[in-house]
Amino acid sequence: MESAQGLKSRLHSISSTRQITRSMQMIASTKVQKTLRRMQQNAPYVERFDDIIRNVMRFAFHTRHRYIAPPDAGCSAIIAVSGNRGLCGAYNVNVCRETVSQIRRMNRDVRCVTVGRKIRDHLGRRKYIVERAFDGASESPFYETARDAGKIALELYEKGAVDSIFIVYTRYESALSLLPFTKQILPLGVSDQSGRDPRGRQMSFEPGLDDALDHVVPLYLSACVYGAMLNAAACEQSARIVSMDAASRNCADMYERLSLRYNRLRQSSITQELNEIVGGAEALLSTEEG
Amino acid sequence: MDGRADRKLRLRVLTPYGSLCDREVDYVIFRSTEGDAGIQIGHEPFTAVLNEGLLVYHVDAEVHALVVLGGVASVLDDEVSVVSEIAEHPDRIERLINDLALEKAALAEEEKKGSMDIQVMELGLRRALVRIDVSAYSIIKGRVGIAEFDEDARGADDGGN
Repeated sequence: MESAQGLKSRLHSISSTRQITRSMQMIASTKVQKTLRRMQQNAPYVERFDDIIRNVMRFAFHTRHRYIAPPDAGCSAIIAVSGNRGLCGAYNVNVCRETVSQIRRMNRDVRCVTVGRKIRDHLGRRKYIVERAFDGASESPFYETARDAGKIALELYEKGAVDSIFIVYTRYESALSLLPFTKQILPLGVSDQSGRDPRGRQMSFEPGLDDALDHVVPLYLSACVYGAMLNAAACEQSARIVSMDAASRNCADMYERLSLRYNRLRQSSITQELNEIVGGAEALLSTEEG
Repeated sequence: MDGRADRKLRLRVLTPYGSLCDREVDYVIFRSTEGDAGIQIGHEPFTAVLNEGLLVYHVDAEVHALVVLGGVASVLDDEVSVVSEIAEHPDRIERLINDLALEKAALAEEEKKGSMDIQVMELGLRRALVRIDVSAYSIIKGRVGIAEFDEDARGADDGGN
């Protein structure tokens, strides 16, 4: 049976842990608000870029530009975004699992660019090629990091080492719906709307279509990676809030159970001491009477 | 009459850090890599790569301007969308340029221990040009300092939050 001293020490430890988890929850709540604000500010930029690309493809589906119809390289590039730290439930595990299952589904060589330590370690352990790892900015993403990550993937594409670029990240739907998601960036997809303009118009490009694509696509890639990083950061903090809330509640439950045990133990020791005192007093009385 | 006089263009100017402009306008002029392009209501579908320069738009009798450092403009269905990594109001950009020039000059002085460097001289020249006219941005070649602008914008973004 555990001693009262041991129980007291455990209670103290649980109380400290609860303080830490509560603080982490509060910090994550503040960070998620900030990140969500940044994400909301950025969202129209990415959406508008998606629209521009969709419109360009609607009018320019016939071109054989390398960003639309690349030569087969037998290899793809994946930009995978995860967190740097744990203590956020299944967030990192889910995005790592999605990346690996995506690689398996492709069934071809893959070269990865990682943002976040967790995905870098996960892919490294499985001997996948990690071209470049960005570890610094999972919680507070910088546009420069997104631009650099996109640039590395695009360089591989330009060299003909890969023929497609994907981004794997966690998309923020709501605080409770964090979905690992894969988005194809290149080659640019030909949609159902391609070639169909209801009014039969043509789009003009300045400079020409091919030159325009040369300029637009690197910007589009940076925009997509930055958007993905902001989504991932919001998801990480959101997952941390939920996870730390659960941890705090578990701490509270455990504290309550142990407090009960400790109080019982303390009570029984007091009762025992009282019994001993009463017994001793009675013994003394009977000796005196005898 | 096709009612063009009553209709307006929708102008959206977006950067990774937020929206700079989202309003109805009469007329837009931006600087593409091929020269200035003016957009009015009923313009044909058009996509242009932007050069560094001013984006000017007219709302009723007023003229407004934004500085746009590269990016893409798309015109479709009377809607002009401009997406750019760096775009700002001219007064803010001027301040950024001045800060940048001062910072770079101070750094150069520290590093070179007083020796004049061509880059520093170039920066001084650009700063003077910007003071004369904000549209002197077109003269800034090689995008010197763009990363620093970005950093500053990021700092402002973070600080603002």
